[in-house]
Order: sequence, then C-alpha cells, then structure tokens
Amino acid sequence: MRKRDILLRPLVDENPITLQILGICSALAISNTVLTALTMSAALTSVLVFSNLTISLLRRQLPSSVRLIVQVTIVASAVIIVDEILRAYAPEMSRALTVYVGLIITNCIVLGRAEAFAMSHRVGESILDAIGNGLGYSAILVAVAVVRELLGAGSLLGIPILPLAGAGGWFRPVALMLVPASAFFIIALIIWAVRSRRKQQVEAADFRPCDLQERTR
Amino acid sequence: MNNDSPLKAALVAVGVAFVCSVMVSTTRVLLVPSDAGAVDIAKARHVLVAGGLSPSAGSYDDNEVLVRFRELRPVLVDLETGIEVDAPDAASYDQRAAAIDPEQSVAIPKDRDLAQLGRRAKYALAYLLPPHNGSGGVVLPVHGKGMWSTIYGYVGLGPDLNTIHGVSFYEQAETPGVGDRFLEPTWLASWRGKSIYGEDGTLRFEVALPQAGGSPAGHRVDAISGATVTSERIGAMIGYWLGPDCFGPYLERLRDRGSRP
Repeated sequence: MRKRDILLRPLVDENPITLQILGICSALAISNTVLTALTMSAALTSVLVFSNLTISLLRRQLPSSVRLIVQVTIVASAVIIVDEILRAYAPEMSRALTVYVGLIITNCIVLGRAEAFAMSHRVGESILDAIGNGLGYSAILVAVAVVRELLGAGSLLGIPILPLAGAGGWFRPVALMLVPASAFFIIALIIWAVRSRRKQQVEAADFRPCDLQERTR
Repeated sequence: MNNDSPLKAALVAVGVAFVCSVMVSTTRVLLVPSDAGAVDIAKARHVLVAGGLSPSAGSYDDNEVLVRFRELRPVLVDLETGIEVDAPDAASYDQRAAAIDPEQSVAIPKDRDLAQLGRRAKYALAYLLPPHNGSGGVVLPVHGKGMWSTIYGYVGLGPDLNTIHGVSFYEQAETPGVGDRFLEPTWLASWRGKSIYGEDGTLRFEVALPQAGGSPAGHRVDAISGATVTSERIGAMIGYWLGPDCFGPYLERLRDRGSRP
C-alpha cells in the first residue's frame, strides 16, 4: 500500500468511526462542544501515534503469549501521561473530559490499530497509519461537535454565532443537542451520507425479512 | 532467543512494565510543581463564583482572577469557637491535609456527621468579601460525600450572612452525565437568593424534591431528578458546614460584629 493511502484512507474510506464503528463511546460523550472534541482528538491521536510507534518497534520481539498484555501496558502508560499533562496544564479541560481521557485505554481504535497494523508493518508506516486513524476519528468527532455546539448552545468554540432568544436574539437552542443521545443521530446521519456515496461500505444485511413462502414451507 | 519461550515472554513483560513505569513516574514528578500552581488558581476561580464576583469559573483569564481574588481577605477560622486565628500564612493553609492529620483534626460523632466525613480539620479557610468585616458577605469552603466521591466546593453568603450569593464545586467524581449534572450552571444558579436560616436562626436550608409539607421554596433548592442522591447529599453537606458544628459559631460572631455601629 502506498504511503499516501495509509495516511488518507482512514479519513473516509476506512474511517474508524463510520466504517468500523469503533470509539463510539467517547464520540458520544465528548462531542458536546468543539473545544472538548478537539482536545479529545489530540489526546487520542497522540496516544495512537505513541502506541503504534512503540508496538511496531517491538513487533519482532513480542512473544504472542504476552502480546496483548504488553500492548495494553504501552497504551495505558501513554494514556496516563496524556492525562497527567492535561491535568497539569489544562485543569478545567481535564475536568470537562472527566473519565474519557482515561477510557482511551479501552478505546478499540487504539488496540485495533496496534493488532491490525503496527504488529505487521514498519515503524514509518505505522506512524502514518496512526496519524491517519487519529485524523479520521477527529474529523467525525469535530463534525459532530460543530453540529451539537451550534444547535445546542448557538456558539462555536465558545464564541456566540447564533443570537440566543434568551439574550434578545431569535435562536432557541435545541436542548436535545446537549445530551449524548443526539450524537447517535448525528453519527448515524454521517454514516448514511458516507454510505450512500460509497456503496462498497454498505454491509450485507444480517437478517432477511422472512417471506410467506419460507414460513409455510 | 526463541520468541515463544516462557523466559522470553517473562523478560519482555518485565522489561516493558519497567520502562513504562519509569516513564509514568517521571512525568508525574516533572509535572508536580505546575500542577500545584494550577490547582490554586483553579480554586480561586471557584471562590470568586461563590462570592458572586465572577459569572462562571471560566469567565476571566488567570491575571484577572488573581486581581479579583486579592479583593478577598482569607481568614483562618477556629471552627470550635468561631474565632479568627492570627496566622500570617493563612492563605496557604491546606485544609485537606489537616483533615487527615490527627493533631489538626477532630473526629465527628456518627450521629452528627451529616456530610459523612468521619473527621474534619479544626480550622478552615474562609474568605471575607470587602469591606472584610462580614458586612460584605463571606465565602466558605464545604466538602462531603456525594454518591460515590467526596465533593469539594465553596458557598458564598450575602451581607445578611443568610442569603446564598453563589455556589461552586471544584472537585468531584460522580457518575459522568448523570450524578455530575449538579455542576450545570442553571442548577447552581437556582441556589442564588435562597436563605439558609429561618426567622429563629435555625438551619432550614435543604436540597430536596418539592413535596407537600416540605420546607418552603425560600429555603429549598430542588433536587435534580436522576441525580437525587447526589443532590440531597450536597444539601446535607451544606447543612453540616453552615450548621452549629462548623461555621455556625463563626457566622454568629460575624453577625454580632456587623450589627455593632
């Protein structure tokens, strides 16, 4: 695979959120404002780059019996370091992200890329893959956050965009956008949009509607 | 060495664990100084919110926070007697460290332990709003058990030392998205103007679901549905800290001082 493809394919064609449906938990919880989404994206991308880099370096030395536990240890260390840095330099942001920085450890994207890519590719390619997947995750998270913050609070990055009805404007915030459930709808709409453009992403149906003939047979 | 031999597995596991633990502890040690500074200014932000001097914790940049925070006078209060203690380094008093130090703390009798703390420090750091004699109001530190975690915050009282000026919490680990909804600005804003004490001076304030025969709306903040336990615990903790066992005697003294010409 060409280097360019490794970096760019995770953006749309192999997006971890919209195609693989990974990392949904944090995408739902952290996408209520653009700033938290950006911070979370940066945190996940840096953890991903660190873990892919380290695991790719060690890949020939990793016995398969302890492979997973070593990967988890590396990911967990990276997450703790990122969490500590956030806590020291951006304490308010760290509070806004609550447990979700810590939960990057269990984010399927990180372990998924380690297992599926870093274990079998050279260091340079693994880093590109990590950046690509980090950006793919970030793109969806920020897109969802833009919709939620704009419609839920009338602002972007905390800057008022739509004049609120409460302050003499015309815009009534959509309270639904402030609860995590709204991210479900927005992500579903994004997946729908992507898959109607790229038919190859559509999955085969798990169940066929059963027809009358079959039932009577 | 064969990659699948048990020895190799053990070596790799121990090696990775060692390198990772060194990295994590190095980060922790390197970050401690800036961590301490950051927490202080973060607390100052919440003191300002509780004192009604800042609309929200994020309203001002660090410098503005420091300027406004200097308008307050920190006083170390002996909770037992309600007397202000003369201490030049009052502002750096660490109440949390004091609460676990047997020398500097007292055990709370079980039947009076509304905030479920077990022990509390003998002294607490309060902040007087200008003109610094109690007639401008006061910001008091409070903490207590929520549903899962200990919640730390500040509550500000107005010049009558009865009406709530504001309230702000700076540390908690309640269930994200459920219990932690007590941090929502609209709910915290509903505390403004509620009275703590009744006509006769007894503590009437509570956080509860509205019900017939309950305390009147002037003394009650409505509990958050879905976070009822956390809300009620917060109410109990306010009751404990503003009650006769903690800041009660101090507030009494401030009131006396304010009523003298």
